[in-house]
Amino acid sequence: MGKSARAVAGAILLALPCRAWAHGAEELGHHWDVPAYRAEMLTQVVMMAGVSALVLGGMLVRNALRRRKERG
Amino acid sequence: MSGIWIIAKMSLLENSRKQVFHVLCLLMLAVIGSSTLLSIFTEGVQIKILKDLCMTCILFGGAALAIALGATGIPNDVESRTIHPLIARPLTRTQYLMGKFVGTFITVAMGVAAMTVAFAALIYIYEHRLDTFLGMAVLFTLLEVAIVAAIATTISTFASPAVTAVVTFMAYIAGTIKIGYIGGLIDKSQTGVSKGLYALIYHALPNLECFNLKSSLVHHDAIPAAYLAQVAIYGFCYIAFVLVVGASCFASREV
Repeated sequence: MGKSARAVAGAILLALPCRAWAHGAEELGHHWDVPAYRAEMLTQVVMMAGVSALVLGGMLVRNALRRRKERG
Repeated sequence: MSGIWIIAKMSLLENSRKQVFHVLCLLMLAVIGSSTLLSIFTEGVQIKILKDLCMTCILFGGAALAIALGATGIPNDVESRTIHPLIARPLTRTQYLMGKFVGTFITVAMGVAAMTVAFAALIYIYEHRLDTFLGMAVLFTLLEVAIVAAIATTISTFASPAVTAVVTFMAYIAGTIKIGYIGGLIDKSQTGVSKGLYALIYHALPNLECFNLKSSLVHHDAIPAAYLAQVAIYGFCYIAFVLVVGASCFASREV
């Protein structure tokens, strides 16, 4: 392929709308290099732990109230 | 523990006799085998495309197996009333659910193992050596498949097999494109209600893309060990959480 043909092909490729479809430069890389993945995993683990703690706490309070009612 | 294992063995036998298991395994093996026909590309690119295609096949095949088997396990037992003698025995509903999940996961892992053996043989034929990245990529694929199986098993405790399969498939797709696309929806939403709703869906969905180590296998890029450990811990936490939700749903259900 000649130099002029390469230049034309390069110009066409750069003019394509594909670049605009990309969300951002960081999303074109590997997911282990993107901080959003780590942050989301951490957020979800914290949320799951929080929900579990809430449910367990609720169960403990409910059991304690039931026992108090049975005694009273 | 023995109760869970007994149910898991029963579920494994039941699942391995299902037509959908054989059909999906054979279909994926056929796609992996036919990927050798990509000889129109040059040698270097051909092996990369082969790895990409085969890994996608294993990922998608494993997820499809997990959805198909996980969605039908418990509803079939309820419909055929085989669940009644089981829960009348000294066996808790949580043990039953866990056994069903473990049985489904082992069956899917068998299918994934068959696909991996075929894929490894192809790599050996082309490169005359085994790829060390393959084992790691398949292990994380199994973790992803386990999440899909846990979601299907949990939804199947209160929904029909068709609804379970559709909802789990949607969760699988949405979980795969979560960060790139659904994350963008939150930023674009105007009202507080829609923003809150999107945020709730966003955080409830599993982050499945982080289990996909396909590009590492294709390009031989090193992945930080801390990231892999974080992904593994996240995967186990998510599976445990989903199964606990499933067990609490199943405990309050009339069968």
